[in-house]
Amino acid sequence: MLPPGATVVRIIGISDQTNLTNLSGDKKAWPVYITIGNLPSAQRNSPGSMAVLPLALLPLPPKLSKSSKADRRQRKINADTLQDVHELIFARRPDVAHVGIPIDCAEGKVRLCLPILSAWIADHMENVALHALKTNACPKCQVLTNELGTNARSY
Amino acid sequence: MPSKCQFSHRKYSRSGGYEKHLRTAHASLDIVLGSTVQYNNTQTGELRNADASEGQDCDYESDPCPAGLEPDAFCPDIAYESAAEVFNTTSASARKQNHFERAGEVIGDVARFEDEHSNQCADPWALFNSAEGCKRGSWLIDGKVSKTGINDYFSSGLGNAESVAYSSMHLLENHLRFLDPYSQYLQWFEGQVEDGQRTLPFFYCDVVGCVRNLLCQIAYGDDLIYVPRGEYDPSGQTIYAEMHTADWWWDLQVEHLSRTLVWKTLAD
Repeated sequence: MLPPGATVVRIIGISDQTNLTNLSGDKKAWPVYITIGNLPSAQRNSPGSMAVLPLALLPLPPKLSKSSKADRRQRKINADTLQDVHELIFARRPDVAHVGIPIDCAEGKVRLCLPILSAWIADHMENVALHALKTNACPKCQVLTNELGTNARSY
Repeated sequence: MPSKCQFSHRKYSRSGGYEKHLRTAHASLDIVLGSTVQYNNTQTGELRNADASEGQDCDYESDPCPAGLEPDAFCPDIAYESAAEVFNTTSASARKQNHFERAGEVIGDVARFEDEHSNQCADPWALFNSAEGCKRGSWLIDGKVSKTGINDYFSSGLGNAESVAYSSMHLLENHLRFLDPYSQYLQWFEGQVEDGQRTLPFFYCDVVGCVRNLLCQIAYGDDLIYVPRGEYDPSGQTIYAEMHTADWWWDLQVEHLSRTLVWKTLAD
């Protein structure tokens, strides 16, 4: 059970790999941003509110060819490395998600807060990179490739 | 030099704009420091219908802040469910209510919170002695004058250090840090990772530090939500709007917290 009176702080992560230069080294950056779900979405998503903070700049491995077997092995190593980096960033203090930590809040009060990673905003190619998936795989379920889109629902 | 308002979380490149903002937007400090989340009717168990006519202006569709009620109230045709209401409906809901009553509980006060922010509102130019100091610092920074150039500017006697309250770039940087007291939580660390062939650098901040920085921003004081809540329309259907109205937040306050702050949770 959560500690009595605990305050759940919903952490939302955002990441997207982005090009910095074209035809001059193909430099890329891989920023990760963070915000909290305790803010209303209108406040959170407003650029002027500055509610999204930069959290990390992930390491970017060099380009690899698809044909080489050695490169395929290296790609697997890179995916594992990326997982390790995320564990380092998000699990530096795993006790805070169980026991909680006192955090000063905006109105001058202190609350026992439990920051918990709850959501991650990313496009499909970002999910592919983060979860080490094939590009034609679903990041949510184990549906077959030829059945993608069959569970579509209209709202 | 950009000036950052602690109460609206906006940055101003010109001191005049910052001063005008302080005069107009923060004429009354009570609005900023007002308590945000209050559940006055949790013991009565009465369903409350938010009345739009009683509400005050708000930027958020789901949080119109009706006077006397919760600041994160919903649209008029939505009935709100307090802790006691949940308890009186079904047993499944009652389980949710157990921790709902004590979620977001205050365990203490921030030391010298009122004094510090009252003083800052009373004299926003205290760091610089005057608006001129802020304007001159803004001009030096915006003009991309080097640190050496700023030091030479004051050492040569061109700048009146007494009126601007700084006589070197070092002191000016200290003033800038004081303008954003929560920047201490956003320290960057450098890490290195081996991928078998090479060493790749990466940079990161402390997650908890980022959370602290966001939660202590006074500009969000009226908007922060500390407790989950069920929102229902008149027919009893659950309305999912913000994250605090989601079922899983309800469940998490009751069920065992098995998930941890690790990357594996992303695979859910």
